[in-house]
Amino acid sequence: MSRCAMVRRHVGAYLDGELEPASQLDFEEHLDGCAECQERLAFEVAFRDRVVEALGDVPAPASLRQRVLLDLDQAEAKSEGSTSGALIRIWSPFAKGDGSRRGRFSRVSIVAAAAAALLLFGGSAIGLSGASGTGVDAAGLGGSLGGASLLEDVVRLHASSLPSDVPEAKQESVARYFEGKVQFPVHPARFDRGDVHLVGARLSSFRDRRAAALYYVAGGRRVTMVVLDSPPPALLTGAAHVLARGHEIYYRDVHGYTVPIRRQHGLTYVFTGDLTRPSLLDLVASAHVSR
Amino acid sequence: MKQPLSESARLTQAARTRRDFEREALPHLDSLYAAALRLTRRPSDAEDLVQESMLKAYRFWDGFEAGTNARAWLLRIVTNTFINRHRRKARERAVFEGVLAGPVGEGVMSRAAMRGLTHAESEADRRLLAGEILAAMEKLAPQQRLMIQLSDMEGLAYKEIAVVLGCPVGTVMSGLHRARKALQKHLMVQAVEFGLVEAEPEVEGAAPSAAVSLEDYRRQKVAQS
Repeated sequence: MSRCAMVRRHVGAYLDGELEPASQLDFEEHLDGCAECQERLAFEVAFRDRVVEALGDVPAPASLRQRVLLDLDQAEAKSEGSTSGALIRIWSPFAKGDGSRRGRFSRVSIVAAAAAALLLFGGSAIGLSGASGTGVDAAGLGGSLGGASLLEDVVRLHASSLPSDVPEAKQESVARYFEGKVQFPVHPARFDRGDVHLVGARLSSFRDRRAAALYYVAGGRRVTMVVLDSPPPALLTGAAHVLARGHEIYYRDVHGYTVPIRRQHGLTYVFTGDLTRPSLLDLVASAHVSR
Repeated sequence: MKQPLSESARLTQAARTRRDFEREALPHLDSLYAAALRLTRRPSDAEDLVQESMLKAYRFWDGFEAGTNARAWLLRIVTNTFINRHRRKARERAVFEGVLAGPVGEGVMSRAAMRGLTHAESEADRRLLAGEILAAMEKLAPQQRLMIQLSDMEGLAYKEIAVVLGCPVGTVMSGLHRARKALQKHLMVQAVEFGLVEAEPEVEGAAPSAAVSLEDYRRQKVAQS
């Protein structure tokens, strides 16, 4: 094989700085006197730049991060359960402060968690058999009293995309479904945009309060709206706030999701979805949430 | 999300693992996703692959040696998970092994071809070229795409790539050479089709199946001097 062929073969390793010093010297020595190999090298450099440009950075989607965190929650709860007997530890990034508070709110007995799961899911097969269901909602029960943990629970609910309870996602049938199940009338939000559709609803529970979760698809992306009648007092503490389309909207960022909050006629509407912050805020502002 | 220091003494073993994992492993999520995307090609599959790999990594966190390269360790889990998943698909397996066994072509590109593949006059040409490169990547074997990703995008050393792929360093060197040559070859075919480059006969070298290695480099050099 000619020296040129040798250089062609190793030009990649040379550019990667992976030739050992002696080989590199040989390589450069040949390169100095060979115009053809210099051209080849220039091509390889330019080609690599084009490849880097074409491949580009592909950041992991926020939903993936959320899914991983949920997995960790469950794995951690499981391992704690096996090492410390009847206790499972509930992880919450917002739970802070002294040990006694952690002791009170971060640990619930497995029996209590199981009972809670039963209550929350109303005996639905998913809630009882799926480990994910139990983990998600036990976390809601175990969270601190602050508003942040409720928002976290909304994000968890959204990210876990639990199935809808209603067979037919029509405004009227959804409203009727919640009658008697929650202590307030639920009117699914309507939107002026043609690309937003109600696709499902689910009776949910945040801490000890029942709430209505409504699933939408907006422009092909999932959006969850949770309706509550008595949110924790600290819900809006520290939240950012914008005025859009004549509505006051509060929002916080939780695990990579924007979580906007709207209040109207004594009810609180918490949203989150797979949308960018501006489009989610705009969607929330455009929602008709009362009858 | 960090726990206050005063509390660290009270943290249980599981909570400590969780904290360490979030600190050491989670920051590599973008790298892992990008690598998974090269392997699977489909975003939803890539997400599943990373999710499964992260859970594995968390369960086997004890096996990670603190202070060593967490990114390479995690990338290895992603790669192994991918291979295991596709083990039953005989075709995929064959493709994977073929990458390391196949001969290296020794085609020599003309000056015009080299220019056509790297120089884009307009923004439109640039986008066209970028699209062609992505299309050519699709035609490579998963492991070849991964090697290019790890070397060109992640800047991993051959030694680290060898850890990820579980193969000798020399195999990385020849594997990358093959992958880049194959990429250029596919790209050439497409470029000719799209009129970016004029068709030309490829000149084949004398030793198409010779290995690419330092050993080889030294031997050849001694033989010639």
